[in-house]
Amino acid sequence: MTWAPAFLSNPERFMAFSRWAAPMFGAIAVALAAVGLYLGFTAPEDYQQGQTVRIMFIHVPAAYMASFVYVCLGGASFLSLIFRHALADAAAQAAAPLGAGFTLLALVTGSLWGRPMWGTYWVWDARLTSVLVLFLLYVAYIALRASMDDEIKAARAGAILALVGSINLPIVHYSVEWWNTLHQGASVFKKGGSSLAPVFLTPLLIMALAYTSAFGSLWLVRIRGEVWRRRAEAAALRAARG
Amino acid sequence: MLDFKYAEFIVPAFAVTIVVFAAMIGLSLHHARRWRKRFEELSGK
Repeated sequence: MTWAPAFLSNPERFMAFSRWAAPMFGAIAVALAAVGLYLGFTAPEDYQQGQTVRIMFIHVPAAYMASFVYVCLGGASFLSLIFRHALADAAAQAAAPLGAGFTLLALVTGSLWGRPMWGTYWVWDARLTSVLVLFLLYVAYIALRASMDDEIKAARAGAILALVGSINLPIVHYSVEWWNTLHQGASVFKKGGSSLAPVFLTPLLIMALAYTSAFGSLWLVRIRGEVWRRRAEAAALRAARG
Repeated sequence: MLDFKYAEFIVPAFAVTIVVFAAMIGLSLHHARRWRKRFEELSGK
């Protein structure tokens, strides 16, 4: 897949590709979500958690996406910083609001799941706190970009912030192993295989694919918007110069 | 199947998910359409 970034680094090729890929990923996401939700709601209730296990099908994919989108943001920021590539910067800028959205979803749905299971909406344990920090990093990135008029300086500052913030990703992932947390440890991907019964694991994985596909679609749409914005601003500048 | 125990937590969780997804879809499409239209106006396409 090393050809993919090089192929898509050409804006014209990217616009031609994303024109059909964005709706295709969107349609795949809708189909997967329909199947995942059907299987999720027809699964039996958990012997300990009862009906609240349904929240898992929307919370766990959101939590996974919160980190995955930051990996995309960090990767695009790295390419933008090293190669000064405008499309990589557009990809980073486009990923941040979506990452903030998924992280907000993970925090809110986790809180609504935590209340009946733990007896509290919030606790300052390592997993919850590190995910809150992840959300604040997304917000800080968006605010930093919005606060600077110079596009080149904003791209550089944003990329540095995104790369420095990526230190939080292993903390989010390993927080449940490094510290005693109220949040449970890994149950999907762990040594010895998943501890989830197939009747819960199947809809969960389908929903994770649906979220990933939805992100793919929305990311492409937002990058296209960024390309149009930069082209419009360049056209406005040309018009102003006569 | 479903009963209404814990509905006060399950329903808001799904409602928030729908609202956030709707916002992400709406804002993304609006952003792309707005700037495409602006570019076409400025470039006379």
